[in-house]
Amino acid sequence: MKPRLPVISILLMAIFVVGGSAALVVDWPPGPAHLDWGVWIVVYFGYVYVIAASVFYVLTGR
Amino acid sequence: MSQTAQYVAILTLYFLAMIGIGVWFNRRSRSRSEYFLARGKLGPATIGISFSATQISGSSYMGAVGTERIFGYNFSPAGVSSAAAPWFSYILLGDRLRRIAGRLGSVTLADILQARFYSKAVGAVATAVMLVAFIPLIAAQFKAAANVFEVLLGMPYWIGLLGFGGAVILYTVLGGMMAVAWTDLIQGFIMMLGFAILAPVAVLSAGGFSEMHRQYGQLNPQAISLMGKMPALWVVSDFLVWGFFQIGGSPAAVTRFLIPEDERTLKGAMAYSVVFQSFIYVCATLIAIASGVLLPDLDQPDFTLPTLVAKLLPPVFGGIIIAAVLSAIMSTLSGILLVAGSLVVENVYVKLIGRTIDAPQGLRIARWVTFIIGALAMAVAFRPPAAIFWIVTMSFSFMASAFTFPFLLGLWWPRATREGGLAGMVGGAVACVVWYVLGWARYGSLENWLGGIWPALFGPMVSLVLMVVVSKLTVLPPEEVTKTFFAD
Repeated sequence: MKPRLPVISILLMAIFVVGGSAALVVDWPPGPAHLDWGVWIVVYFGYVYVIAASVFYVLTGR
Repeated sequence: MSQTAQYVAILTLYFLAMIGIGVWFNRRSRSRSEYFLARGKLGPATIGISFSATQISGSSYMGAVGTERIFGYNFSPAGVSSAAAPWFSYILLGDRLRRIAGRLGSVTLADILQARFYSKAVGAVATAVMLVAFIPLIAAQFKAAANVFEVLLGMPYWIGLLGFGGAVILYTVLGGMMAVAWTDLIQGFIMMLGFAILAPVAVLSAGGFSEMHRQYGQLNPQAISLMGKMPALWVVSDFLVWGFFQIGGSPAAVTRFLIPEDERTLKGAMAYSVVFQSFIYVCATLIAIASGVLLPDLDQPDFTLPTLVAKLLPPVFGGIIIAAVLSAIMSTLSGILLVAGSLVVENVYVKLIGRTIDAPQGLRIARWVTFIIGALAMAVAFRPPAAIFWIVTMSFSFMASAFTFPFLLGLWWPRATREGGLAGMVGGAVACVVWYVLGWARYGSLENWLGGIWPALFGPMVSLVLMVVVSKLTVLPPEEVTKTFFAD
């Protein structure tokens, strides 16, 4: 039996890497607290995304 | 009692406690494998925090705040990516390494590469690459700690070096992996505590979250967004490299994957690592932006954290922050020191030279070798030659280039061959060094690279191409290797 690839986690990693890189070069409109939406999405939501994706792997192994 | 005397008293007690942990675990190891790895003896929190504390060095902990104060949100994606590093590493390497190390009884990552690519040459190259990168790193960590004593406590460099170095070498040599992992756990909590105290105080002192950003944007308008202060390729490279390429760039941390015996422990460890690193880097960002507002005229980035602490916190909390910075250095140092010791004993003395040693003799040799490496690195740190700083600057990129794809393809792609593995490892490492040299020849600095492309991106790409092409052109790996590595 071959080792099983955690396909969904790999997909989430690809979204993080490709989506994150693309989001870095977008010209974002202003958002709350004197920050633009890019900072909110890539930086602060980025941490939430990584924690949620890790918890998903811990719970499902996928 | 003066403020410095209070700091010294707190740190002396702290070092004695760390040595006490080393003494406590001194008689728990019965073989060199238990000493270097403690397989199955550590829980998820210890493994997870130990992985992260090893990965976050003193320069990441203190330097991230200083760098981010200047580059602002241009630098923050690197923090998010660093928090994602355990997510990549545990999922893409962790469980595969754990299973295979259990099957083969491997103690080091070089053991696994040697078995996967069925070649002593691969094991020897992997050992050499790690030792070349590790030993100057150990010396550099000693030097960083001695500088903390010199700058923050006004003590002579050599006293800081001997006191700090002596404590770390002693607990590592005495207690092996058990002591290293447990001290890492305590040091990790101190690192969290330091930032947990400083971040809210700094943000409130800068006027609160929204007002702090308004002021920072006025003082440093190009750094309040993701781009502006630095070129796009710099920001994107940082984001890509500090996450994914930690897979190959941090073998001392990745060695923790050889410890757990079951999948559940490993998954739990991943959760601890990701939450811990996310907390540290979010706090670093908030402290950095606040310090940009509170210390707008500070010249030296590395002095950001100590200056902010002196400005905002009473001495007892200042002592905690100094302990946190030293903790970050200690945890990285002890982790690398132990892995360097294991490479010399397991891969050079036993596998390469071919010595057979029994358990008590092996344990004695393991302790002596770890002690000698630590003592040598400390001697180098007294007066480090310039070449060391070159190697330290390059070490992460060098290891990321040599190991990222040999690990990844070696563990997931049955078609990867001995020749492919060797080509990927050597080709990646050489490409990385060549890229640094070309950048240096063109710009006179190791921090500027051709086309702005980081060697930690260029080297692994060369490694990937070489590994795939050479593997496709050479004969399939032996069936027993494929069975050992892929018959799950």
